[in-house]
Amino acid sequence: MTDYRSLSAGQKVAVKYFVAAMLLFFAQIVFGLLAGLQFLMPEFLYNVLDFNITRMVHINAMIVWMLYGFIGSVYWLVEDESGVELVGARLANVNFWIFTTAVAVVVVVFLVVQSGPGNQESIWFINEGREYIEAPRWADIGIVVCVLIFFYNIAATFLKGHFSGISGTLVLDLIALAGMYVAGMFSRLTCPWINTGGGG
Amino acid sequence: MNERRVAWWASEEFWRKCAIFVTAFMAVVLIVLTFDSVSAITAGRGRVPDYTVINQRIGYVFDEARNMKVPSIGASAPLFGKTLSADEALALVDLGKVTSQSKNCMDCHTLLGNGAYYAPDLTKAWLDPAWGNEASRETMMMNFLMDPKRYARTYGTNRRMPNLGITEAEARGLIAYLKWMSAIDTNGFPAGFVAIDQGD
Repeated sequence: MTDYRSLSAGQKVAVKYFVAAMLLFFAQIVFGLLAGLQFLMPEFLYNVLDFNITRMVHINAMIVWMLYGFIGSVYWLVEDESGVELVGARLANVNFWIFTTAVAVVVVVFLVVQSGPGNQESIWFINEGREYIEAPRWADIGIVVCVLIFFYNIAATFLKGHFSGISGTLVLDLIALAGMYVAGMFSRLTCPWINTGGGG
Repeated sequence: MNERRVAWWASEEFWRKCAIFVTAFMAVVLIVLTFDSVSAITAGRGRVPDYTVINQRIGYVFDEARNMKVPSIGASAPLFGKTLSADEALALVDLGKVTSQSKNCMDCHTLLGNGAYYAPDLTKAWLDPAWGNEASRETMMMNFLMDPKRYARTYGTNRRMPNLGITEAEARGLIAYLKWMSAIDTNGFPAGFVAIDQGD
């Protein structure tokens, strides 16, 4: 078995991400079971923790644990692949804690506040109400910032060392990952400035 | 170093360039498709009607040539008896959409193919026969949205909608949003939907 102390700086960061991914996977299973129970017993937690909340936590835990697993895997192999040490190990750690704190706040708000009045404040601070991207708008911006920090860390490490086919694809895909979350922030009706047709 | 020559198509250099080129090309394709979709789903163009459609009667008729049901925009039939200007219609539909997001409707219902199947598909909810007839529809929808416990309708599933604290203004917005959505040409989706009898 590999000793934790013998791991490289990048791999130590990776272990943190893997642990968080496992915790989120556990949350996915727990909330999936709750949602499943509500199919069998519709009165179970009715108007306390309704199906829309249990399902939302269930599917978002899945998305975020996969994101953690992906980020962790990249940190695990980046030093081997590039041939140099991770450029910003400290930055990677800070990024991990910012991201994890944000995820925790989003989940607590989902469970406790659940929903708000039909206005933009609810969309910004409680729930965006769109499947798979339910996280409120502030968290969308946070995810983009965290992904860009991650992108910098990986791209800078490869630039310092060796750029392989895998790393080129990976770095380009990280830009796409950030871009995907940027695109997810816009919706036609609620963004009049891009609403060129229709009643606006 | 081993100086053994390899064919150009077997070299690491070639495949590295291929991997990076294909990733970059697909990223460009994704960006083009994103903007193309935004254009296609803009209200007032093609199959997505202008928001003022809520001033008119929405039918749902079988199209022989396409072999599917399509919405038909009929004569004047103002929602809540008031004809709205383009700006007023946009504001009302927008309020409905933001309310549907902040109440997280999509994690129980499905809207335009996105969402859950714990509760009925809302894509054509305005045309749902469960609202009785055209005369009773608006009142029944208002009552249900504002007090879903008292006016529960479970379609034989025993699953009740929770009380989400929807205000009268928000309920009006939601109904406008649903009326507008029912007028979107969805290629016959959801399949097998039978519309409320409007004498079409």
